Amino acid sequence: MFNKMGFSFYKRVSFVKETTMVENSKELHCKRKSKFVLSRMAKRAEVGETVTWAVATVAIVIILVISVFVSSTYFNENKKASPLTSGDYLAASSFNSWLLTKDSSGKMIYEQIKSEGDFNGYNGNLSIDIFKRFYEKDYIYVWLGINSKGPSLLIRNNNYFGNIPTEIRGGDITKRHIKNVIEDVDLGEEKVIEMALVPKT
Amino acid sequence: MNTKYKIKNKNGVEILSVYWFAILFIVAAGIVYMVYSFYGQPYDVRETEADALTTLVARCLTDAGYVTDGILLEGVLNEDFKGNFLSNCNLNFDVEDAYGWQDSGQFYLEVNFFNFDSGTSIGEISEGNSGLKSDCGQKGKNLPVCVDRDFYVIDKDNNQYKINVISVVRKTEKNVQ
Repeated sequence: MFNKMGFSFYKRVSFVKETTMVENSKELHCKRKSKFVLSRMAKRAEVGETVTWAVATVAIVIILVISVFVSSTYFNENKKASPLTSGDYLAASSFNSWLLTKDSSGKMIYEQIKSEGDFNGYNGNLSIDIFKRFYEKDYIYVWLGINSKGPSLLIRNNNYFGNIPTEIRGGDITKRHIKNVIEDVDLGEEKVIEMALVPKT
Repeated sequence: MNTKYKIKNKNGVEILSVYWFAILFIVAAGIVYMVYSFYGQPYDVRETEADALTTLVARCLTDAGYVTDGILLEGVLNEDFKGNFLSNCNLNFDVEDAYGWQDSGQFYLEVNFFNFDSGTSIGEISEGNSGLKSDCGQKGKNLPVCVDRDFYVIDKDNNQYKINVISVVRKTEKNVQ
């Protein structure tokens, strides 16, 4: 029994010792291995993170430099106050004076257009001399002609100014673009004699 | 081991904080510069001012499509009207007392009257600092702004005229930097 017990005790102790030693050595090995692996991974992670930040910094600086360049050059150049009104008093005055001008027979241009329904040689050539010569340098389109009152799909054209510009064709809503200069005088029968100027952008 | 890692990480966090503050400062400085460069520059209102001056002159010279009475006499410019042009048209070229503007005029106005058919001149009015006109047509940021426009007008006898108005505004100090 003693022997048995002693043996068994010895055996047990030696077994425990052996197990502990093996476990300890395994643990140590694992710890050494994990330390080795972690340090390499940590190094790689650090390098990766540094590269990320370096690239991010370069990107931030580039975006900032572009923004500063654009704001200091492009936006600065265009800081001009826009005109107070969309009207053009000089063009409107010329238009009124043209309509009041009389031909050799003493008939006003307004009356000529109203009765004939279109330009004739006298008022057409005079309108070219005035409006094309005076206002084409300030506007993209200079158009004069008879137009319908209100929205209409009818495209009006004449021999002197051609078709009405697409920018102002199509009725009152599109005509009221803030920069377009529109002057018209009623001719009756839902018609107007109209001057349309489309400014350069 | 853990202590070492902790210390190392702590240093990294501190460096990262400094980096973050540096980036924050750079971005903030960039935004401040952009805002200042845009809003710090004054709006150039001289073209609008010259346009307004031209319109005022045209309003003064015309009345419902005809030349205003008293401006032309027998087809030529009335000298009385020319002599009191600024007061007749309610114009005032006075400027604020800044940048020495009162010593040299900041406006120039020239009105030329032509016979429409023949193109011959029938009169000329000029007011203000005539030296400003020499800069018209040249390109440059610090030069005066010129507006040169024409309009057509007739008198009650159906004589046709072309009127050319040249308005020049300097005021570069307040409108351009």
